[in-house]
Amino acid sequence: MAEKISQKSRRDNAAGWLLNIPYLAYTLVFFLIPLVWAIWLSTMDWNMMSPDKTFVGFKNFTDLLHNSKAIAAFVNGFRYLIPIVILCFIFGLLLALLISALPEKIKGIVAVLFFIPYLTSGVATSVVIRFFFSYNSAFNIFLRNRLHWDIAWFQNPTTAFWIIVGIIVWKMSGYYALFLLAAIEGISPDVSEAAALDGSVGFHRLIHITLPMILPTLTTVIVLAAGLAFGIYTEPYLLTGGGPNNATTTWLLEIYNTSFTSFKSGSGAAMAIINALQIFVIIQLITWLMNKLNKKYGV
Amino acid sequence: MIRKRAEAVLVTGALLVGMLSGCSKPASGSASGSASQKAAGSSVTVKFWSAPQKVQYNFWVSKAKAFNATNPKINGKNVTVKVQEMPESPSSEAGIQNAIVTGTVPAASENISRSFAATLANSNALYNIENDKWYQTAVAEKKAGDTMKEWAIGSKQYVLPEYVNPMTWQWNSKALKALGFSKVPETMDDLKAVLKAFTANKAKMQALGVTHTLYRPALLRSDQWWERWYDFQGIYMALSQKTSWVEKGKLTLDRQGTIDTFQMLGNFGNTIQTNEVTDVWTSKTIPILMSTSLPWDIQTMQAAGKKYGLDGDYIFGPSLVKKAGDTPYNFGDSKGIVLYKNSSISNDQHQGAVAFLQWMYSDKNCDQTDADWLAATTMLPVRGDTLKNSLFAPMMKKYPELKDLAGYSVYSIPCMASEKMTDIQTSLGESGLVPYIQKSTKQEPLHAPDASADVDNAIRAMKSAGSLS
Repeated sequence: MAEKISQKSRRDNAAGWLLNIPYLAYTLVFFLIPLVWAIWLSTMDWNMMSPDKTFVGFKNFTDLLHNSKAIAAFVNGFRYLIPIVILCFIFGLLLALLISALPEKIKGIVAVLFFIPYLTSGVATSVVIRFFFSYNSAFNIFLRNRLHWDIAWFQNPTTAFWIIVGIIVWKMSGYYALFLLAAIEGISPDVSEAAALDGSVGFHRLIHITLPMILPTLTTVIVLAAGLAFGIYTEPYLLTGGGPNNATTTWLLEIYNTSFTSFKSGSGAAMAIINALQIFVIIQLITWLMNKLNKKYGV
Repeated sequence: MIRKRAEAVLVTGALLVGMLSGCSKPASGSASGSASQKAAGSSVTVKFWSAPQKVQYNFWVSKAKAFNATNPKINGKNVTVKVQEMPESPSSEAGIQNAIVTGTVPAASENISRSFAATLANSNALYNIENDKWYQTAVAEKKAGDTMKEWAIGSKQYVLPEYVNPMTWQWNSKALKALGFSKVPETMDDLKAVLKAFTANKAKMQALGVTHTLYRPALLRSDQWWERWYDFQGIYMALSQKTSWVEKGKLTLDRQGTIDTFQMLGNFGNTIQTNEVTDVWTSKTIPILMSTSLPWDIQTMQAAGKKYGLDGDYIFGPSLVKKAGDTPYNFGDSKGIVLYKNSSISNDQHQGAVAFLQWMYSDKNCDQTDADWLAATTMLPVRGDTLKNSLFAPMMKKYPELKDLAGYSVYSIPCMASEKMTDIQTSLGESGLVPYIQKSTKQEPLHAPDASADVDNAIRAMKSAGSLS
């Protein structure tokens, strides 16, 4: 009997491994091999075109300590992280609460409408924004003629930074609102009724009932938004080029410039590894904090 | 149960085979990737990459079609030239880099700048063509012997320059005339007189809709390193009388010429338009007095109803020189044709590409090739006889601005032949030009701040970025 069970267990194990082969092969081909290759590349001085490659050890990494653009990309990762996570959370939650209060008939349509910015290409959005803030746009002509404000939007580090944050928050809030909407809709009506009977309504109910009950979804949203903050590329590439004075630069922009315009592929790979490490540490930290919060509220 | 398990195994196997087959090399005879270049049996397929632009692609397709119709043969094998647009994303240079590393590089391509050619040549990815018969015939037919000296990379030739856009100045004719000028400025004194007149007639200019003197949004963007060709090299070449930037690992930039260049821009003061303005030259009212020239836009200008000439809407002027009599050198926005060296390119394919270029630029076809190029693109072919050769006359008549541009193209200097050009020009912007312009745009016109310190910073940064002595 025991032998039969053991045989069955082995067969099940083999089938499990077999069924996992596509995923494992995918991971190997598209993740592990490129990762190992990137680590190897990061130790080389090579433009990928020349037959000459020079092993430089950790030089590409230590050079980043003196590279003002790499330092700016590292710092800007945090500068983007804070407003993007907070604003995506606030606007996503507000949208979700508003949509959940709508009549069932139009709820779906309105949710999709707020989702559209997520589907819009970053290139198209950036081009529209560029026109919107150009010197001879209706908006700027209005500001100059009526308010005597002559603002060079993309030449001022503060305005340039906040325009990029604004685009990303506008684009992503509707997407995150869908997650939160699903969680809010999942709260049992019994809980809402019980809360109402106990006098918990409005803001009080939001803080003490709704938010704790959707905390696992909030964790997902916050982690996704944090990851997003380290993956910004299209908007600064098209609008500011990372400037002025590196105020809007990001890791991806610097990796692109280093690898494909300066052809320092080894240095670009080193940047990519540091970027990945930064994201890993931050995401782990946020997940740890959110798990603590989840435990506190027993979810 | 067994059936279920068998089905699962079958589906998994099919998925795995399907996925891994996507990673395999294409079968021989396949038209994709490097396989298309493989010389098979009695035929040779030669891949040629055009610039990622429809007009240039169409030109090369028509030429390849005509060449293929001549039934060319190499070592007894039929040669077929196949034209493809080079990848544009993330950039054409990165597309070529990727093609080299993956062995899918074409036998030849156009759209290569002198600087990128230097990178490719130093990576042993290009053929030295100076002793090739086709190259010597092309240079002789184009009467471009003098120009070729400017294209040398370490005293060798790797590129046949194809077109040149002389980057000089583009003036708003109506504004210039309203300020009382009956000819385009040619010297620094002329420019100062124009700036003085502009400052004294601001209200008059406002009434004409002209709010700024120079339009140059890229002046404050150090990341756009290529813009230093247009807002630094052009001016610098004229003011330094063609002193090169970099030679044999040494920064040879003329310090005084660089200071003069910075201060020339500084003289525009707060009248420079550094914000982006849409349709600046094609809008009903041109809101600026001048900008760096846009030779590639002449068809757009004509389509927008803008007339060329001092009595029209806009006019091209020469580079501004220090004093009358100096040569108005300018930056030549110029790219050319190269032959790639790679283990994936067979000798037959290389010879096929050479045969194609030999046919294109033979004594019989060269003039017509360049005339067709000009008609297709309105970009001047690199030649020494554009103004004299009757084949180009119809286009000069159709676009009178081409005549002026052809005159300026004689003094065009291409970009530097350095692998580190991107880093050098980024440093120039970051450590010198951008900080200087940030200061100078706070001043009134003709009150350029002293640029010595910024130039010295830029020189230090360029030496470090380019590993130059």
